[in-house]
Amino acid sequence: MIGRGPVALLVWAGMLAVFVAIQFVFSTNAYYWGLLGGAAAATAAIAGYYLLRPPLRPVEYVPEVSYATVVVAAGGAVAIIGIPLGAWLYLPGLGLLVVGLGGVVRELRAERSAG
Amino acid sequence: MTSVALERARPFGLVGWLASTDHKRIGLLQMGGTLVFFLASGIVALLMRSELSQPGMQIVSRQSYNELFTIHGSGMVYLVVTPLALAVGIYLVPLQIGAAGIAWPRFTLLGLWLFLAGGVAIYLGFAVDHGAARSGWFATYPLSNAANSSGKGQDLWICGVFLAVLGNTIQSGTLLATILRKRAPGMTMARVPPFTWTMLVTVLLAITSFPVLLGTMAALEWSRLYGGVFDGQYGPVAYQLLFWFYGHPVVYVMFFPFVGMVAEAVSAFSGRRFFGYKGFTLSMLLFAALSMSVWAHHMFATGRVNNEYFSLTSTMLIVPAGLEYFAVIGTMIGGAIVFSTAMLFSIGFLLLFLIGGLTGIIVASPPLDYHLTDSYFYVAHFHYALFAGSLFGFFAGVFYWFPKVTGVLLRESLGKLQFALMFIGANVTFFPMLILGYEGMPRRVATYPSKFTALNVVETVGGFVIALGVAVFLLNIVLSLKRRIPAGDNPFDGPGLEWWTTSPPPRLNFTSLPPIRSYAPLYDLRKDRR
Repeated sequence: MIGRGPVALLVWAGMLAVFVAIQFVFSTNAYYWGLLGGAAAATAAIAGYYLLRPPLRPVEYVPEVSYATVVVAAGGAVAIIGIPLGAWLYLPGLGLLVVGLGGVVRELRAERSAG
Repeated sequence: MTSVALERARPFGLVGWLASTDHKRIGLLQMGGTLVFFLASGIVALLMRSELSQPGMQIVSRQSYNELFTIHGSGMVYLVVTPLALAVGIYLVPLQIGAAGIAWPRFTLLGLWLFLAGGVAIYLGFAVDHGAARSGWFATYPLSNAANSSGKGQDLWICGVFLAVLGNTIQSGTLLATILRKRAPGMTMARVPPFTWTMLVTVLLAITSFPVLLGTMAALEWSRLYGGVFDGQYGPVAYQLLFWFYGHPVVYVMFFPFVGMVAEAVSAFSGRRFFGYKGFTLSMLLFAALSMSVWAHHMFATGRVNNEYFSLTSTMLIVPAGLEYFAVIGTMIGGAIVFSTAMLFSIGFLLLFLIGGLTGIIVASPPLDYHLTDSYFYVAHFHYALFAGSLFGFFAGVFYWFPKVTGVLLRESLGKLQFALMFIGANVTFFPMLILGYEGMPRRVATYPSKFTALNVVETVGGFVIALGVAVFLLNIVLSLKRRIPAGDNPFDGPGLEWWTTSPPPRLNFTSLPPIRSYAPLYDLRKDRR
């Protein structure tokens, strides 16, 4: 059920926009309106996305476990921690990340064929 | 409710838990992770308080002390309270809205593991040359640059913060999608329970402010490796403006879900519907919008921000905060109040957060802020707000929902003992900090003039009383799980959908749903039966 859920987001985006407008009374610093205005725009965009999305399928397949997701997280984490520590760490991390992403694609295909 | 089909048989054992896409298992694992980090941060805090029990250096070196306060603050913000707030939402939101699961469960699982990896990275700093990060939980620039914070500890901290916050951001996205797309038929937004509303505004804050921190951390690491990003004349101010755009909203991410938990617990233990629901939900939206608009009040003392605007919005925060208090107290008035442990923690939350909130209004005034900035007054203010406030709200929720999660009751006698220890301990620890700060004791110092000794001794004693309260809580959990007192499906006559299903809930949460005509469907049902 989507209903009018995204409207709450639009209301919130509107409130942020009001505070952006009030900012201009005091200052035109680009950091101020850029950050808060960016947040308002992002929220409005998310609300629009959900308003336009089709409803959920009547039957939804739920994965019970996802080992590949854990591999993606491990690979991503090792790769990021490896950035300051060197290629000896981030390259294996990237490798693990690719393997994990491959696993996720495989899981999704298996689900689709089962569905 | 969308009908669902399970992909395959449920794997048992540890692997079945660690890679599970069941929102309840992910939520519980995340709570377990935050508990481990909470204990670690607590030990770090006790080390600091022990060092501060006397002037001079007793236990650790000055550099180690800097590492301790950095890791304690970082641990509590990035690894304990924020992920804990989201973990509770991950467990409860699908149950409260009548969904069979969470949206995008793989992403929710990914968020859990990224957060855990981030925590490990932050603590790994203690194992490398030059030690862990030591530039505070907000990595003040240029203190956190390569010249002033040499060694890999600061880099590991940046990577750890990035990973943990990335995980939290992803989970916020899945929670938002769950609330917007997976509500049961009849569960309109005007019927979503108070806790889920607080989670909605929480994830909105996270989704719009956390990415700014991710970018800032990436830029900080780039700056450490190659220089240039924050080195200009405006660089350090720009760093602070970007950091606090995350750093203030996250305070509310660590607060709103616990307001929701208190609202639900107070409603159940007052035996009546939550008062002023519509006003509460609207004021939550306003509260969240204001909390996005106040971030540079952390920078009054730099003299480089617009004091008028940020002071105005900061002071305005008292309006929605007052409405939240009005709704919770209005629920109690006229209710058949049961002084259970959950209710006591709720009342403790209201009292202690009030001190945190009112001291916040004091420092929202720039002239007062100039006097108090970087003093122990601030340490007291945010500990009243976050520890004495949010964690009391969390414990109210634990005592309320533990039977739903496990199927057994916690021991009320031990719970009340824990409440007494933590309430006394929190005030004995944090109230003297207000006085010390006002008298001029700066924060982040390992030693101090001897005139501050007496109050520091009192604070240290208070810190150990809190630790005793936490030990009683852990004992209660172990004892209650070992010598089980079955709870039944709805031991406290709770109003929400989560109390309709079995305790603990089945894999897909519900086998049936009652008609949903308001935000308290089980109260409606009871009323019909009468």
